[in-house]
Amino acid sequence: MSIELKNLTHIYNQGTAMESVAVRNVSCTIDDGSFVGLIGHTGSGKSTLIQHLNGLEVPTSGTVLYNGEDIFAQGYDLKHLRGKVGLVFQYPEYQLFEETVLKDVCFGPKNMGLSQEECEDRARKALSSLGLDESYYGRSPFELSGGEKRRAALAGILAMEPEVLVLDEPTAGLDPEARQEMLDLVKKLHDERGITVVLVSHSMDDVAEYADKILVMNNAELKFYDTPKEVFKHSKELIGFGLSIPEITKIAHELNAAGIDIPTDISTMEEATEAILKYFKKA
Amino acid sequence: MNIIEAARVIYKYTVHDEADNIIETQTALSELNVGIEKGSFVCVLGHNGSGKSTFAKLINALNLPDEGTVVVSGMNTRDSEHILDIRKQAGMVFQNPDNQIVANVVEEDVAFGPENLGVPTDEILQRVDKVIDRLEIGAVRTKSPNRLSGGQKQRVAIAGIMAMKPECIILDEPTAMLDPSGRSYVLEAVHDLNKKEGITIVLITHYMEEAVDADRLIVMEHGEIARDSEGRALDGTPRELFSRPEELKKHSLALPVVTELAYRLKQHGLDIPDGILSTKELIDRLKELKADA
Amino acid sequence: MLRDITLGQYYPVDSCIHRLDPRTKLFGTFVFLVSLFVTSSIPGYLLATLALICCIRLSRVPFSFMTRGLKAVFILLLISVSFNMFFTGETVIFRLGFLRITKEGLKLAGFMALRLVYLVIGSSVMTLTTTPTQLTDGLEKSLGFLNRFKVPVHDIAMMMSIALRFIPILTDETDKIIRAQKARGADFESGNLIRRAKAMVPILVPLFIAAFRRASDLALAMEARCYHGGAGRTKMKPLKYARRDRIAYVIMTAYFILMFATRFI
Repeated sequence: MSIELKNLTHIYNQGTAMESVAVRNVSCTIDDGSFVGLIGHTGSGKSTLIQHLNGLEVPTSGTVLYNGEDIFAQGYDLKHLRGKVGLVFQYPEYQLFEETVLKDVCFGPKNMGLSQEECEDRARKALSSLGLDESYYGRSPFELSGGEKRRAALAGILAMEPEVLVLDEPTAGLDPEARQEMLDLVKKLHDERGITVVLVSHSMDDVAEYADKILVMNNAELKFYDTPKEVFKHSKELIGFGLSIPEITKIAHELNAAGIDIPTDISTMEEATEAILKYFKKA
Repeated sequence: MNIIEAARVIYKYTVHDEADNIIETQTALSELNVGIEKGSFVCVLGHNGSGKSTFAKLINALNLPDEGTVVVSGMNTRDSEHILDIRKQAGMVFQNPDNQIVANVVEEDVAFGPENLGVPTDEILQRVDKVIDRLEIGAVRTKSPNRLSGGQKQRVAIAGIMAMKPECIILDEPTAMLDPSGRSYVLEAVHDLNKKEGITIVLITHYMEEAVDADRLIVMEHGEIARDSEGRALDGTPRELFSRPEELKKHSLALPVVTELAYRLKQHGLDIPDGILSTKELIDRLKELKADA
Repeated sequence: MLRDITLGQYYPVDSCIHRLDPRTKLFGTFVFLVSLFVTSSIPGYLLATLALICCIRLSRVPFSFMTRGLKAVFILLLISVSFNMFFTGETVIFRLGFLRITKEGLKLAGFMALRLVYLVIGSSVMTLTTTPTQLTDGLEKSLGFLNRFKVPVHDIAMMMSIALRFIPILTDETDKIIRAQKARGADFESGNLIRRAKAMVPILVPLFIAAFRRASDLALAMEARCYHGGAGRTKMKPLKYARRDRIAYVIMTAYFILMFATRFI
């Protein structure tokens, strides 16, 4: 499985006074099983971009290939694609609507045409992988806490058993503990099930820890698409884009500038601790 | 001089069924005692469910305590004749930027508070001008709130509160829905108002980075001020609290990145003091160690 | 993108119509509307046309904006025109199978169509030159007399203003909900009427809940800012009549008298 974006361009209100380019000539490939972090400031085009991955948005020019097939070609089954490329929007708990949690999680699989039995089976599996046990099945989604609601909404997408999981700021509005739990969960799904993950965020810290590759968008354009270490080397440019490098990388840079020679491509707490200790053992 | 005084406050939520019988009672605050000094910048930290938001709403009488008292600028929140005065003195900024803007145009929303207070027309105009200038939102003055970024909307909300000339502003997780640039845009304004106008600030948040610049941190848990394993309240200056990293970790609170790094280095044997709050402090200490070696 | 479209589509430009007090414009629109029904002769409609053209010119809003509202009433227009044309009158002038077009019917249809079109354009002149806030303020002040009959004028005006504020937000929210459900395979296009109605549930339920949640938050925020109803409230920009309003009222009166007079021509 792979997703290839070919010269993707999306222009809103083309030809009117309110014309704006949301995505400009973006080309890249998301490899099977990878964990990609998509970073960009608000308005950089990242939300529009990800909506092309499951055909919710149609490009002005260029296209998207899923497993080599053009998803915007005539007759392509987009509904089927949406079961394979699961897109979780920001604050997904706002899409809950059914009478019970189980029913709501079944909505996705049902739309895929599965039998009631299979839907419920998948729903139960999805809910348990998110830490929501049987006691939740019959409850109204609206009486759950904020964090529980979000997990129920995520279960709704997982129940479709997608090959690719695209998450738009999955930690938005969560407190630090819940935030960590959510990211660990996503990582777990990636590692255990081999699901390809595209995580959209404006926090470099979130993405640095988990992503294999980082895709940086700025003003509708793709600026960088590389491993975290490579991307963080462009710290000046990143700051110019209104983004920043992870806190720990900043600290590494500052230590270096102050004469404490540690590598500046550090992107995790562990690396930083190790590097500083190593430096002092030498001295 | 304490501008806010909460004494032995207990607050409970009751859940009713269709027949209005009480199914469940949850205690949101159990015997809270806290005083906020005039002019200070206090950060209240805690997980969801710790009672911090409930506490915030008790200050401006949106909630009334079941037991105990809350006194703001000398007025008891239970006195119904004083409610408007209390809310004028203790303004509140909420988490969702959109859901607190009432008017269709920025300057009209800033005027909403004074209009409610019956301030004469000329004075409203003066106040609105001054406050828009102060919060540096003049460029969007005649715009619809829908055209603003999250951070701008929160500044508009703060302006609306400032127009009522409060002594204190309570902010309930004002940055939770904002991106990093929006967050700093809002916090800059809040610190500025505290330092230059002497406005007392009570900032409810779960971001540790926001706590570093406060005068005082209070950690809440299960409806009261959290205590460490020695029974001391987790209530003090940032340096005091971050000097007890083990305790904070026990309460599942994350340390600011540089504090965490310093803590780990100390654990591994490097002679680094507790409570490092900034990168500069860490660098200075490491330089000293380098020189000593 | 939908956020830029405000209801009534206020067109921001400076003109003498823009500068009129909203009450004057509200009353003027009302007078114009009534005048269309008071007259039924050609001279009357000519006068109305002249008045409308003058207002449009004075407002400095491009004519194309005025006609946008016609799209919305197109169906209504079609129905009323056909009804009058085919089913009224005596003097048949044309036959189309079992349908007959009469002279009187044609005349009635013509006038009906004209009234509807002028109604829409006339209202557009008002909404294009008055901001939502001015509109609600104008309504609140001019209907103030209803307070004596225990009608909560202020509350209604406040509700209207808040509704206007949140329409773009809720429209956006609806769009987001639709996309989220589509991402879960929801289909809003295919199926018969019943199927499509059922398909609305995943949109309507979250939308209602979102709306209530926002309303609840907003109410709390308003209370926190000392809102306690209309009693004792002052205004930053209170409405005050100016000389141009008085002139406008005189012109309006003269116009109405003339329109009334055309009944006797």
